[in-house]
Formats: sequence, C-alpha cells, structure tokens
Amino acid sequence: MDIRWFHGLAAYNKTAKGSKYCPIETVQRAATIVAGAELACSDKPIGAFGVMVEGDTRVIFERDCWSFVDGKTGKRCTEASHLDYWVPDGLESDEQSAHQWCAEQKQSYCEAFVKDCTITAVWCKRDASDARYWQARSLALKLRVPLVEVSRSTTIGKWCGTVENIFSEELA
Amino acid sequence: MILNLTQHQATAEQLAAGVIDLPEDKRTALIDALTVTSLPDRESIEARCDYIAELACQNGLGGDDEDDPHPKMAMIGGAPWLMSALEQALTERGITPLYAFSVRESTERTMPDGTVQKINVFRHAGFVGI
Repeated sequence: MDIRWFHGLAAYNKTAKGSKYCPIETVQRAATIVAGAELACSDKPIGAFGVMVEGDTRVIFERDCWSFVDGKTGKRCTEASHLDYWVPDGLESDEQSAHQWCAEQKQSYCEAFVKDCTITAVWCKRDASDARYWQARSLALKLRVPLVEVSRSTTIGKWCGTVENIFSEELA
Repeated sequence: MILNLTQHQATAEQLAAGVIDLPEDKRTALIDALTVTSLPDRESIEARCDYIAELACQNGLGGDDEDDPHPKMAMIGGAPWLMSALEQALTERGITPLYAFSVRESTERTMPDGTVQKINVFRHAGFVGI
C-alpha cells in the first residue's frame, strides 16, 4: 500500500569525493531516478533537502538502507540480518500504523524500501544554506509540487492524512 | 515576447515594445530570488539564477500549468554580480537575455518664486542584446 516517506537528495550532490559543489543538473537527475527506482526512504529528513514520496512500501527497517546496491558488499542495508522489520500486511497496512511502528523503535530513525514512488512535495531543512534552499525551490518549481519546510526532528507521520496538510506549510 | 525579469514593472514604453510582466505571484517569487540580504557565494548565485530561469519558463502566462508560452527573450537587470550567471541560465534554456537601454531627457522649468526646477525623464530607447 502507498505510504508517505522522505527521500534525501543531498547525497546525490557530490560530484567528486569531498566536493561540496552541487550542480543543479545532479539534483534534476536525482529526481529522475526517484521516478522509477525502488528507493530507500526514511521517516525523518536526512540531509539538507529532498523529496517527499508516496509509494508501495515493501518493508521497513530500523536501520540505514540504500537505494542502490553497495559495490563492496552487494547489499542494500547496513546489516546482514533484518531482525527488526515491519512488513505492511492486511488491515494493519495503513500509514498511521507504519509510522507508529517507526516511532516505537529504539533507533533514531527508520528506513523503508519503497517502489513506484510519486513525488508529492520537495522538502528543505529550515537551516539549509541559501544555495540548498534555492536548489530545493527550483526543483519544486520544475516538478510542480509544493516546497515544504522541515526541521531535523520532523517525522513524516506529521503528514498522515490528507495532502492538504502539506500545502498548508507550503513555502513557494 | 520579452519577459520582464527585473524587480520593476515594465514602463508603458517597454510594454509597447513587447515586454510582458510576470503574473503577480510569479513576480513576488522573482523579487524574492533577486533580493539577496547576505553575502552570497557562487553556488548560491547559480542556484538563484537557475530558479529565475526556470520561473521564466514556468511563467504562469499560459492557459494552464502545462501551457506557458516559452519566451524567446527576457529583460534582465539588477546586481552586476548576478547578471552573468543569469545570462547563462537563460541562454541554456534558449532565452536571449536583454538589457533595457534608456536615454535621459532633461527639462528646466522656472518656478513662480524664480527658482529653476530641473526634471530628468528616462525614456526607453531599445534593448541591448548579449
């Protein structure tokens, strides 16, 4: 079932190891990737900015996951065994129960593998740099979705319910 | 169509020359992007200019969101350190940046008390292309 998540884009920014320079084309490409791949998403915003997606949630972990297979380990998760996970199932598979499960975990955040994502908004941290803010705003304009301001502690569960809740916090 | 991407609304002469202002909500967003209140770095300047150029494409002048007319030219102006990056961002989208050129016309009028009042009027005289 479709559940709303955060997906960070700042990690796509680095053109070279250690480089902080972020060409806007890289961000645009990241948005293109989002449109088709099975993504690693999180219940909290990670990085300076990213997109809010809605998609078919396969499994939720209480640990770090990656959208792509790691070149060294061949894995998409930081741990070999997924002992703590939650699979959407039957009547329990609603957005509220998914985020409730996340809130109950001991980790600071949870991540999920999500397929067939739709971008519903672009998010940007309140303390993001001027450049990151305008990149986020530009991306929102390109994708024709609202830009939403978030803090480090914002959880995606905040927007459980209708999309109108997102628009009420729209920046641009 | 010459899209106005300056902070100021087009003058009557500029409108007559084919300049079109952005709709109010887009113009507010434009002014926001052109207003820099702290020392910017290059990345910030480029990000703002990319936004402005995107705004020129999604200008809200079409019948709906998917039908905005693509401007062939845009009138720009503002902080010199912003213009080079803006020219580039517009050119990358097939939009020719133009600068308005005006001439100053001065007239003098003798007031009833004998003083002379000098009035400067800036008249639009064309565009300078890059």
